[in-house]
Amino acid sequence: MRAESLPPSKDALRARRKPHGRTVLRMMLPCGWLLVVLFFAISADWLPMPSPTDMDFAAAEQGPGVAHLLGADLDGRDILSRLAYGARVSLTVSLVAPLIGLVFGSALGLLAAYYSGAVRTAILALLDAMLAFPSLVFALGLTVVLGPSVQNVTLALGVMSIPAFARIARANALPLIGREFVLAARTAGAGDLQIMVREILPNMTMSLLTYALTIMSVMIVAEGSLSFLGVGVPPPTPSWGGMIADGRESLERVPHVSLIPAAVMFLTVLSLNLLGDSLRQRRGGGRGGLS
Amino acid sequence: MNRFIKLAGIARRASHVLIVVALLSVATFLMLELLPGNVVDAMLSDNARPEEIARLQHQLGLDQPMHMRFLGWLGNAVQGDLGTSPLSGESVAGAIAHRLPVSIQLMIFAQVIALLLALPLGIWAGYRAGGTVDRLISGGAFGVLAVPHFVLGLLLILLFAIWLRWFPATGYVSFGSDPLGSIRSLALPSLTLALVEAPIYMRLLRSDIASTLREEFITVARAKGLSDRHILIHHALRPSSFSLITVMGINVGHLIGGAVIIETLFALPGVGRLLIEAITKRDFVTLQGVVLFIGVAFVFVNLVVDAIYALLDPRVAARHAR
Amino acid sequence: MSTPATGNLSHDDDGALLRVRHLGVQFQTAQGPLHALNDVSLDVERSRTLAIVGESGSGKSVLSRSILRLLGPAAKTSAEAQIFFGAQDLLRLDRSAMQAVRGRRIAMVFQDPMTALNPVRPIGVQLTEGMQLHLRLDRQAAQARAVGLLEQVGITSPARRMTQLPHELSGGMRQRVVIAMAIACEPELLIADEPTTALDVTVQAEILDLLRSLQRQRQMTMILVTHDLGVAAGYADDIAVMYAGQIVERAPTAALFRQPRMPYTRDLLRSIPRLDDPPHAALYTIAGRPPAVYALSGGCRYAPRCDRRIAQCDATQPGLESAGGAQVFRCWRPMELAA
Repeated sequence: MRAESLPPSKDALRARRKPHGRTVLRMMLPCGWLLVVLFFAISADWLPMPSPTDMDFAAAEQGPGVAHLLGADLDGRDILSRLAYGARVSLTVSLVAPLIGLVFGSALGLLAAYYSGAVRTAILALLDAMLAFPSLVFALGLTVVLGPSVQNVTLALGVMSIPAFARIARANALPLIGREFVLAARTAGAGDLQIMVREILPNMTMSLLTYALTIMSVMIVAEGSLSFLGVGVPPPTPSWGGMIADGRESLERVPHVSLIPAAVMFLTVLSLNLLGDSLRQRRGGGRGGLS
Repeated sequence: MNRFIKLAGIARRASHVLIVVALLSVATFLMLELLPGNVVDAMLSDNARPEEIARLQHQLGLDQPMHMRFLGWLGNAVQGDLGTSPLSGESVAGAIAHRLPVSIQLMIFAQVIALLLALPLGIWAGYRAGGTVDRLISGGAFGVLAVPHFVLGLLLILLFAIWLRWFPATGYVSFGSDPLGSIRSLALPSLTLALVEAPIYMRLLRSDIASTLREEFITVARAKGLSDRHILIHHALRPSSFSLITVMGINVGHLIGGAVIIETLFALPGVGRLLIEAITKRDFVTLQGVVLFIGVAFVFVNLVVDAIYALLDPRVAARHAR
Repeated sequence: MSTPATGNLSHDDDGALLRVRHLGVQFQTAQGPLHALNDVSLDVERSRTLAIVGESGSGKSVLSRSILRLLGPAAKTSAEAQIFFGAQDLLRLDRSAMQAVRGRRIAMVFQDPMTALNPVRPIGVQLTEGMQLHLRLDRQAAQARAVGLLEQVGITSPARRMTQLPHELSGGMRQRVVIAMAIACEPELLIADEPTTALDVTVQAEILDLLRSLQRQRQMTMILVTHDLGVAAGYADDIAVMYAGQIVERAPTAALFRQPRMPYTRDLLRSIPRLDDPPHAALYTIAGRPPAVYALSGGCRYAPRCDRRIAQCDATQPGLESAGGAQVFRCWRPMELAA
């Protein structure tokens, strides 16, 4: 006995979609910052900055100034330049690692949802074991074994994210599998793989992509943590986490050496989070593609 | 009949746990296997004589077939013997036992502080969802979340250890020898860890409270003339705590294995530090033992969390047994 | 000739426990303001049962909830509205004064027992908390009283039920618990908002009988909100018919059924299928739908669907007129009196 409600008029719908001032701030500023970072990362080679590895001891530990726009670190290296090159590492990791998790995680999750019995039990147990295995150890172990490099760090972080993607994929796939269109496809003679790829997968993508955006920032922090611990990307490649670690001992004397890269990392993470949040709000809360 | 269903449910969960632990132990063991040469190479110098290599291999049991080694190792592990570190000579289990109290202390302090922050703020924000208070609190949480945890630690060190000189930046004092000093030495690390987790807890609680407050039984409680405070604490809190408890459980499970970054940053002799040292020094025997311990601990903590669920919401227990 | 009076609404009438005056409620929605109630005035006589009858969307639930001020922050009450309970205007009470009234002097039975009870707290606690607050009983005294209440509402093994959770009881039993919760502090006024809609048909009569016997025993005043005229006929002393946010007719039950004045009432009565209808007779339905109360039109709201409509109906809103006795109606061209 629900009260009758009329469908909203077209005017009402249009009014709802007009961007508010606050939304503009929440989406445009983060996009702006990320574009700046992207710009610096891409054009680092051509910008009029000192090389990130040039040590200029005369200028060591200087704060922001004319010669070094964001100051110099303990060895006199230009911070801005190192940030730009470090951005490459961060962006690579944050783009590629979630992709790995997305592809393999979704596959596993989809399989676990579609099939029952031994396949499902095996996959679920595997995912639980992966979750229980301390992720940082795995990343550390992998980089130590295979040698520290950007690729290996990316690979390690990507594999780390597989269980989460698998869980989301499975949670989204389960309600879809029971629905009519899957049944219809099966009756029409479609094979399992076809059904999974053509019917179920497209409906899960929105939710998975939203999560991917969310963990991009997590990846940046994770890479930063590895570099901070000294087991991430090796020198001479600069990385944001490494730069923060460099300034750790002299925090009292020259805080800017650690704090400027920390601020850059913070703003990047914040921007990614804000974007992810806005995206999630627009979709109205994390369900699958079908509303 | 009910009891039978419950037992079947428990049996099912127990077998799942066993499978997970089995996978974990295989994976951990394989870690060592993937780098046979490295173990020995790492521990001896480059121009070691073949006899030395062979002796070390025999000492580590590397000359036996893999499955024998695995079973031997597993058999020992079940009895609590995780081997001896070839580098330090210390028993691995002993090293873990030595360091565990530090990590557990850190975890407990951190969770308590996190809850002290997240509970009132989360309830308040959920109660006034959509209002100015909510926007401030949620915005603040959002901002804190965006700060990487090691940066957070650095900032706290800068503020409290360097500028204000209230707390020491590094070092650990054991609880037994000096309780007050122990708390002081753990203050900054726990605060850092708490600030990492509190925003997440707060957001979960806020969102759950906001949606619980829309339920009909809350209106019924208001119709009975109960005060808002009474309703929040006695009616809204319990049904809204499930997400929070889930995540807390996961965090506790992970933290038993130590907080690697925090322990490194603040120089605490916890399980996390043990892990890092084992990795960087290539002490794979210790590494195996510690990883197995961490993994198993995580799995068991999750079991406990599930049990807590069933206590809080008996409908969940019924569903699990099915 | 009828005087445009407010019918049975004189101010010094001491028979009326609750007097609602000019209550208008408006909700802020994304589509604009929704006028759920429009200038509603109503008296509820002491120790009698008033049924408020209407279709979905007529505003009857909004009315019952606004008495206890349980509408959310999105609801705006009109400035000139007054709700007199005894001598107090409920709309002017501050929060703690209102909380003292709720549960103690006015109580409510809700529609869906599934959602009305907190699923994770035992029944006993939900029964005793109100008593501990309003009657200042300690836990043991409250528990003893609660067991007694459970017995009164017809629940078997009441002592055992105290520690049970809502999902362990059947729908009918849950509703009995909700009723027990409502009468726990001996309220003067009980509002039952569609108390049987969510229940099986077989259980409905039991619950309604229970309510009636409790009302008689305690001489409670009762408001019974329902969409079912049959229920109103069987259990109410007076009936108020609502349409599109307004009261369109109010009368003692017998008078309403014998002589409805407002065409909508007549149409409602007509749509009840009767046992003595010829087999396979088409069910009577009222053409059209209730209006969307976003835009208040000038004329009578039932006019678009009324077969007695005249020009005046579209032009001006009719006011409530007295039909003699205790009956009031809102119509420019009411039904003729039977000879």
